[in-house]
Amino acid sequence: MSALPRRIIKETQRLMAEPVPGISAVPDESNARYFHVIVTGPEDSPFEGGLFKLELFLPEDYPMSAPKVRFITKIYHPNIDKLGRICLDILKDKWSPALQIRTVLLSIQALLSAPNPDDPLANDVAELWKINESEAIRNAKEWTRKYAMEN
Amino acid sequence: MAEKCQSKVFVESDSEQIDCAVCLQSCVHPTVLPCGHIFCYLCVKGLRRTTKMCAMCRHEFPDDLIENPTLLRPIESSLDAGFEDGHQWFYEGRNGWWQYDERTSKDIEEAFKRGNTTCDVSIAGKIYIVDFVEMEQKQKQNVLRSRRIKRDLSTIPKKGISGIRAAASSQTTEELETRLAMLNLFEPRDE
Repeated sequence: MSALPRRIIKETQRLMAEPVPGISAVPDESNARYFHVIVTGPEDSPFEGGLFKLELFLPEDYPMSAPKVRFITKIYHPNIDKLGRICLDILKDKWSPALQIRTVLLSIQALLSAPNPDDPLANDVAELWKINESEAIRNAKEWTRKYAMEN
Repeated sequence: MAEKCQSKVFVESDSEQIDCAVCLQSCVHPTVLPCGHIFCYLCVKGLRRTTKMCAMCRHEFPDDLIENPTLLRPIESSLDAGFEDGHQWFYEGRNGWWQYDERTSKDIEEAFKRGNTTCDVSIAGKIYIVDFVEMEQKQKQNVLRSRRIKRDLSTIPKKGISGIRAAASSQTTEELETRLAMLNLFEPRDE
């Protein structure tokens, strides 16, 4: 078992002591670099009322490289694909080591409020979002009810 | 925490702790980037290896900043500082020994005193295994890259601390003020 960098310990303690409203991130019992995350769907979005599970992993050279984050709960969103992979610049080339687990999760929550179909990861979803937004939103609400509200 | 790093430089504030937005601890050898943001010297080294930008404002910074850093305080006072028995931890560089930075050194000493055979330390965003049996440090992801280490008197001849050359840091307060003034960071106080 290798020692955990102090930064990770500090971030974890702060996540526990001052949790971000609408977001919970709990480290796995056997791997302190792996977090079980739940993000609540933002108000006034098609994801409102849903609880979305994600997994977050801090790679060995974190914070020099970005955390790896993936949705586990199925979600109908133009920037999130079937495998739950997220298209978000700060997780890729716009990563900065001054960002933290909490800021990453807040950005993901914000992405749920503001889907960006012009930079799609799920092409079929993005296409519908552009040509028929109301139907796309209906689908998103339906998926939220079906996959993100079970217990 | 990170907010404090946004502030401009005050040369006088020797005792003031500056928090580093990269390691989230108080800055060890605070180093000023051309944009005015301050991080630990080793955190700047980590930035240079990876994103090559300031972690706060994403401004690029020149490579020679590692060789010739703008340090907020000279390293002299740390150079000969040792533990209670006057010793210190060193790693081998080309033609000489480098003293570990204070934080890493303390971690290594604690593990050594506990009688551990190895310990992990995080330096500039990389994890290294310090091996007290072989007396070497290895990169965790590339164990073939190893350097010799030693515990020795803090006063032995050395190259500097963690990559900061002893000579490079011997700038006077005036020199530092001049360098910061060139960056428009130092504002002389009204008397």
